[in-house]
Amino acid sequence: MTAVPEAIEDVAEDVRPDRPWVTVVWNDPVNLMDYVTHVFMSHFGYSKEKATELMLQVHHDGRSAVSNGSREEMERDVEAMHGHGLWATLVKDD
Amino acid sequence: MWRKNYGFWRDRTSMQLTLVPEEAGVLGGLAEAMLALVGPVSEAQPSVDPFDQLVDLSDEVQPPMEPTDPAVHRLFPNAYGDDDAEAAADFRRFTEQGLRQLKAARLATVERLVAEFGVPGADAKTVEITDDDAEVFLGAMNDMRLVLGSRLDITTDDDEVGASWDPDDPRHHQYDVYQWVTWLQSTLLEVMVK
Repeated sequence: MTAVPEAIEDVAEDVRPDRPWVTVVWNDPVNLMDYVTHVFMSHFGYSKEKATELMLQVHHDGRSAVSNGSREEMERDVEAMHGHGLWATLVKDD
Repeated sequence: MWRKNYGFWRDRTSMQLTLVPEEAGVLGGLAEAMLALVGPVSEAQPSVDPFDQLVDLSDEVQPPMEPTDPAVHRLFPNAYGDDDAEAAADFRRFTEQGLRQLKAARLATVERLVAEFGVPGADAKTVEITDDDAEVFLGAMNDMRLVLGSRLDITTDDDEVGASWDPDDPRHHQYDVYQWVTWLQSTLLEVMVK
């Protein structure tokens, strides 16, 4: 398993001081691209364009910061991603 | 090896699933095997000495341990990086049983739905699939592929899988199953996304 970096720079949304945690989805060789897009749309309510952009970032860059907020909010997002079988972690964006 | 003619499709009013009984049997068998992996009673719960339990007066629930089976670990990965094992253990304590119940419920539903496809030797059958059932199938098939992918050591995006296996290696059959579930999930994504 790859170590989680200290900070993620390519955050999908602006990160303000009150939204200091990010949910990171990691690339894996099993999940289908359309499936990942579908999960981003259904869980986060993202448009097809935005969900596809984030999916492609996961695919090409190995990871993408897909949401940000409080630690509790990000734990809920990570739990939901695990429920859908996506490999996700949360990290504090210092 | 597998018939690739049917799977999920949509007519003018609703979603349909067409399978021959043998295909339904493969899905049912996978669901059953997966239930043994993700069910609430599993390797995640260390065996408890009844005497220890008797004298343990604390209200602390024994936290689930990090799964040692890589396939199970892929289904319930750590939520925090390697530098924060304590937070990862806390997250596991609060979420893993619920996630196991979610995944087990989906698998049980798939097992029930594919039982409608009849006995081997019968013709292909078509069953109407509700939107809720479609989400259930989607998630359950994804978990099946994650476990098969872990067992088959599928670690890259390219298709070199199986190149080094002996011709009689049983993993060839598992890989056929993996590819068939991949195809079936693709037919479902096609009709859900469009």
